[in-house]
Amino acid sequence: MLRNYLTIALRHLRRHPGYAAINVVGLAVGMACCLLILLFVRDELSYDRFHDNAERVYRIVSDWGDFSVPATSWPVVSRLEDDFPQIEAHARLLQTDGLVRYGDESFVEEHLFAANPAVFDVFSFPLRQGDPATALSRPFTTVITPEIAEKYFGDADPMGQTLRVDNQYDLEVTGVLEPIPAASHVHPDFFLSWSTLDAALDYSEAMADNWGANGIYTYLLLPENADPTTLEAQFPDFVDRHAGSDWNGATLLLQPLTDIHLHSHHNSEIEPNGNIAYVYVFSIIAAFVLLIAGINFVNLSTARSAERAKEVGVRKSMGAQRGQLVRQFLAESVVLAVLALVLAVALVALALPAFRALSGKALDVGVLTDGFTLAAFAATTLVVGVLAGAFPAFVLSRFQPVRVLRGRLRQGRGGGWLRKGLVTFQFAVSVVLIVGTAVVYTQLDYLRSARLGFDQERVVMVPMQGGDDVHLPRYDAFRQALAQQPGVEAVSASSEGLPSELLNGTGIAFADAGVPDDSLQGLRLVAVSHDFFDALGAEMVAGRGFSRELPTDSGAFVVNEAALDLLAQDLPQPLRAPADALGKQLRGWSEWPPRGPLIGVADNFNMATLHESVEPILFMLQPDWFSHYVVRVQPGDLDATLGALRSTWAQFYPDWPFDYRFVDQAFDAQYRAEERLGQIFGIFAGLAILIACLGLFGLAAFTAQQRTKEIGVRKVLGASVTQIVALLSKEFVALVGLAFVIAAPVAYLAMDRWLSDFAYRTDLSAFLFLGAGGIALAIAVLTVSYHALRAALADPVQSLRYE
Amino acid sequence: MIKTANLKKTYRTDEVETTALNNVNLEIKSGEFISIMGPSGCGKSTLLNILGLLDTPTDGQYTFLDEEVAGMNERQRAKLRKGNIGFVFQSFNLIDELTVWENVELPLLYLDVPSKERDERVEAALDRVQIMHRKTHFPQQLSGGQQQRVAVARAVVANPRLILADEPTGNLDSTHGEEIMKLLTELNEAGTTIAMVTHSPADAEYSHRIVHLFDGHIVTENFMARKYAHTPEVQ
Repeated sequence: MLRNYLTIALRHLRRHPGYAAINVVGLAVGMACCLLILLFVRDELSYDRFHDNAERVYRIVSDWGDFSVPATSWPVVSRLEDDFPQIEAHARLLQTDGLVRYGDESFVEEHLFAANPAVFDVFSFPLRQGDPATALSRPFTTVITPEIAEKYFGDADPMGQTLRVDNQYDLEVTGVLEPIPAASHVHPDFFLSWSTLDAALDYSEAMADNWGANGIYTYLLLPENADPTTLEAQFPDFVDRHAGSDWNGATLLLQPLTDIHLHSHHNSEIEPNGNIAYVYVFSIIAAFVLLIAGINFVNLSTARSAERAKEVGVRKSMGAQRGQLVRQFLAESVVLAVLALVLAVALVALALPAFRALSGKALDVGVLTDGFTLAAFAATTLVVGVLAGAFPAFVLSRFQPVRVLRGRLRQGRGGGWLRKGLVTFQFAVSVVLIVGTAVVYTQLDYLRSARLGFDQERVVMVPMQGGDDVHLPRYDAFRQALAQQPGVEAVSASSEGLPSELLNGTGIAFADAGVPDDSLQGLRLVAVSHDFFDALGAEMVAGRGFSRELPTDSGAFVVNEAALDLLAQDLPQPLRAPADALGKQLRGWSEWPPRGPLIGVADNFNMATLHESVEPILFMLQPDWFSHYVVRVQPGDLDATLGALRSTWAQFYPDWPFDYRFVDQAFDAQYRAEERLGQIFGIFAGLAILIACLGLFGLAAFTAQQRTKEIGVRKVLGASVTQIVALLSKEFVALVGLAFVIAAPVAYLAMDRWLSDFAYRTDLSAFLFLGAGGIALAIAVLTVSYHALRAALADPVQSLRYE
Repeated sequence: MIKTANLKKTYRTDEVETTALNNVNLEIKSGEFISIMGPSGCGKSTLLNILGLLDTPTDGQYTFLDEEVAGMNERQRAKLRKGNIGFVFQSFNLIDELTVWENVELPLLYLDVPSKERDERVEAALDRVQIMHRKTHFPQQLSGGQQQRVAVARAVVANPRLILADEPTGNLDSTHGEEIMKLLTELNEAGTTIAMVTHSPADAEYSHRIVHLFDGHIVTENFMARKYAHTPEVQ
């Protein structure tokens, strides 16, 4: 019996190749989308689960409400194990960068992490060489990844070799890691022993009371089944006991290790994390694309049910039970789904390289053959086959043989409405996706072209290398030499490379102006050198920037307007204007920074990406904080100017490599996530509308065929080709119109919500929606008109004779 | 074998109620060959469909093989129909996607006949209608007469007690029509009860009895002096 089902299924498909192609291609594309997204989602969900203790590890987060970092300070970390004996172990990571040299080769390395030996107990970072128990126990030792070993030592044995860091310290290689899986929230290239910090910087002593430097990523290993909230609840007491009024005000929280990748969005994350919202959105969209393909199957098979009716009647009169017919039709749709699967697997294999680039994930063809994927394939096929086949099977098997065999079968009104509803749904989804794509790209364009409040073109940031002792003695001479170079307009320096997360901040208030002692405003602190505002091309609203001619400026402050708005709240009304605030003294929390006059108010400009609104900022001259030279270059021969920068650098920093980036490009690079979203939306939208149109094409063919006689009669009575095309297209156009009416509000709400994540956002113009609707309509009309035109041009005599 | 009492069938559409059969009392004995005649729309096919358990009466009784079937649901009727009734249609109603062999095999599949026995019986049925040489052909590759022979083979392959034929020669020329009528007569002579709807007086002459329907009523019943002499065993 099954063979009979399969035989008839295959012969049926062969006899109706167009119908088969629409269904198989549509389902295959839908399934391929789903499979790719499934691989993506699986990878996203797998982050940090390779650690044996993954379920027991929690990271400390310091939360100030509007600002939070997934790290804490040394005084907290150093007291944890004494105060909380239930903590089995803690791993601490402190990220730094440095110039690493071996022999003649040197590279700036950004993924150096000081770590305590317990890092190998808390995490599962197995060592290929070396002993995890001792590798990080001595000062000046390091454990490196195989890539780093290869990079510096080639084929030679790295164990016991010495790497020189920042031209100052020698580190002995005491271990080589196994490669760290891609699905990890952190990828250290070097672990250097925590005791190195004490030996080199007297770290424990220097930081003993520094509750404000929250840079240590701290991971706690809790006992089996321990409730992290119990520990969390004890933190306020802990803080009270040790810090008292010195406490920095943060609430300490615990974050599960396995939540970091998808749920952690703090400042100062070690690596850019994923976003669970995107995982949901992509999954839903992929499911919708598959649903659209499934709808094609339902629509085409119910539309063509008249053709199958005779068979149903015959089989029933031969004694077929309804259940047998249902099974037969289900077998047919499963056969179709299996064919689609074959094509889908081929599509996935073909699309994998592009998908890899798009998703940034290391998915190779091997993933197609692992157990999970195969199970997913089988499940998808079965689910698609059964779900898509269930309704047609139900409808077809319901036919009364006596009616169909007498040719009395009429298209049920109900089926027609269902079909229209499903087509409307398909186009509604397509319109939402088109609007989504358009909005994402419009926003991206807005982000890239928006004025940041300064002239972001032709500003070059050159990172300073080494510590204060390297760049402080050279700073002035280098700056002057650089300013002499042709093509260089201005040279300054800053503590921030742009765009910046602006992680430094403190409480600031006007001193002696009637402001209560406890009324401090949280401002971000940015160290700048003279000419900073000129170099960026930022405007002053009142007063002036820092002047080299006035030595007293070294203790003065400039704020931006956002900061002045905050500070002025505490001033009496008549003194709140920018000009009135100039000359007043500012004071800081714990008398740091030391009191000084406000000499200028800068226009608000964005130092962070446009996801954030302009933060209130206090600018001060603080050379030991500098991290970047800020160079404004002239238009013209950029290559020559960069060459001059490089050679001047080599003159002053012979031991340090030259690095630079353009500020506008650096800002652009921060919008990669949006760009990726736009691309994925675009691809999905394209596929959705393609599949929907395939279905429409099939339905149009069917309608035209069904109405052949009507068209013949109308033509005989004098209808023009245009009128016939209009007649046949009208219905579909109405459906797409209805789809637009349904889709527009949904798209509006969804995209408005997405845009609310940005401090600066484009408007959702009606034009954008109408454009999307217009595109969907145009594609639908083109699709339908092929068959409409064919029907309209056909010889009416033929069609009437045929009937 | 078949007995109906006051059989009634009405169709309702949105506005109109049509009476297709009205108080039909008919008895068909085992081994009988009857023809049902009458003008278009008189209810012939409706009667045949009810007799074939494809349709249900609105009112009245219908006993098939001593079972009251008027109140049966689709499932029960399908069960009773299976193996007991074979159908031959005016438009053949072969399944286009199946070969001659597969079409004839179909009723046996639904009867769960084992594969070996199926092969034997399909072959016997195809031999009987002399279409064995076309067993791998698809219906659309055959002439009308050949298609109807396949349909007859399909109707008899399960050895049903009753064959219902709805204008079996309606789509055939006279030569092919005669072939089919001879086939049916042979089957009847071998013991199968046959009820046939026809417009053709010539075809009707092959039967023992002609039932004339008019506007849903049986108006006359004529017993025939059969052309090919054979008397039914009256039970």
